[in-house]
Amino acid sequence: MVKDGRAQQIPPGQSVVSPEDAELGIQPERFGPQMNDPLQEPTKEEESQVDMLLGGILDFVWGDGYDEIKGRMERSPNNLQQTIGGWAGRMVNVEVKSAAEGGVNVSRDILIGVAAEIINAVAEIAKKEKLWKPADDKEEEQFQGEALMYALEKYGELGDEGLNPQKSMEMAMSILREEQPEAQMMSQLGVRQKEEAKPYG
Amino acid sequence: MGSIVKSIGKAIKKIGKFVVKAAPYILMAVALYAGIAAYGATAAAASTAVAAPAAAAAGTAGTAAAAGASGAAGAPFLAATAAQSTAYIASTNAAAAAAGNMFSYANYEAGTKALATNLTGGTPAGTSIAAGDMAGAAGGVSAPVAETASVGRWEGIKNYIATAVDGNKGYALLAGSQMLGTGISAIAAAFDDSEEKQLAFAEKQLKQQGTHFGFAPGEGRTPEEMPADSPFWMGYNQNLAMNAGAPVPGAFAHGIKQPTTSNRRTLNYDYSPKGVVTQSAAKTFNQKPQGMINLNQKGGVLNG
Repeated sequence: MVKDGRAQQIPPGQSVVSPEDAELGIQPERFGPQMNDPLQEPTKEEESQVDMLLGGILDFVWGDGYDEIKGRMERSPNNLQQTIGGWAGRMVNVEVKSAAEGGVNVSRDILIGVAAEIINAVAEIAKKEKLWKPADDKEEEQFQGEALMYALEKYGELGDEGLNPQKSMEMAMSILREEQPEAQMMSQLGVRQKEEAKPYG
Repeated sequence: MGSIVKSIGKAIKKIGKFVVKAAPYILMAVALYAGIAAYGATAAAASTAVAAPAAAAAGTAGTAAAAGASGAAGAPFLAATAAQSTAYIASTNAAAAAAGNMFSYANYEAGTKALATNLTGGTPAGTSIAAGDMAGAAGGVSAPVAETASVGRWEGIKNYIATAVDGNKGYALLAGSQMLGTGISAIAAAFDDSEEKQLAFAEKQLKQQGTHFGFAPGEGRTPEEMPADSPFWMGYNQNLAMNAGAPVPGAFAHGIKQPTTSNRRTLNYDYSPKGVVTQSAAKTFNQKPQGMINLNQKGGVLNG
């Protein structure tokens, strides 16, 4: 009884959960085709803003600024996470203000993700130059997490008229309430979901 | 310029790994930090100079006020429902909060305390939560969030998250009412390395099985370092050393200082310890080997 020549749409299925698991609040795993995509992608404008901010900064970090960054880390090797976090916060703040002067109002929602990528790049330099030797992944996470908190503090210290605490509070509330899928949060925080990019050449 | 672009490509590759492995939890933890700090800044701004948002919050939040909200400084960031929380957040004085360093660690600490104090509603009907449990559920007040030389701010946010979810009654009730959901639990689970530690310990134990009394070969233990309960001591002379005809507690005839245990039985016989390797002169292997093929010997076995 296929009217339009296409196969009948398959409804999403559900796995079976035992009554004991159901009492513990474990949800049945959904499989099969999704009726709709729950993930909200960042807007095109936000995506281009992430690229705009990161492009210039990463060019500097891996290009002209490489030796300067390395030298500064060598001169003050203690508490590198605070140093790197401070740089990231300052760089993002300067870029956002420069963009504003150029008439571009950067979405403040994406800044944490942008700062995380900068910190990741600078931490990579520190590792490459043997200025920081993390024992394992946990230590690496801790280092970058702490650096990101310092970046945030530096950004606030430098000030930004466009900063809105309500957005930050809403995000925290969402985390506490688990209202949004993780991937959606990542998009909102300005994290690019691409796993790999092929280098040129 | 080409090399720079390649480097950027490598960096992005690395970021890809970072995103997949750790970034979601790091970013969510830091976003939590930012939100709580903003809440701390908002509450501080409201309590010092702004009275109007307090009334606005109570009015806009509607049932949140009825559930226990008391003005902006005392209004719940986590109210009974998400709509009430959103209404409260919308009513806060953003400009006043953003005037200072909104994301300072001091504001974060203030935010955790305010959150603990102002949790209201959301509990299942007929249940009540003690104030202390509520505070524990929010991860504030009693949580060691203060930044010290030994406890960095990252440890602070980890402790906060752990305290919020770590098996306290308040959290159980609040989680049941969806006030604190699995979002924070997921971050806490990502941070929890206790299982890894247990596995590492089990692996170490497994590796030590079959070694010399539980010690790895070449570990460098001396007899004095062997635990008192180690089977190592079973083969040793248990007679106490004598001094002027009287036994010396803790000192043994063999001269090795064996750790003491209570109720150790004394064996009344001399016993040469077994298994102790003594150095002997090197033996010279004089016997001429047989069956070897000597290719240099012209009239040898093998004339290849």
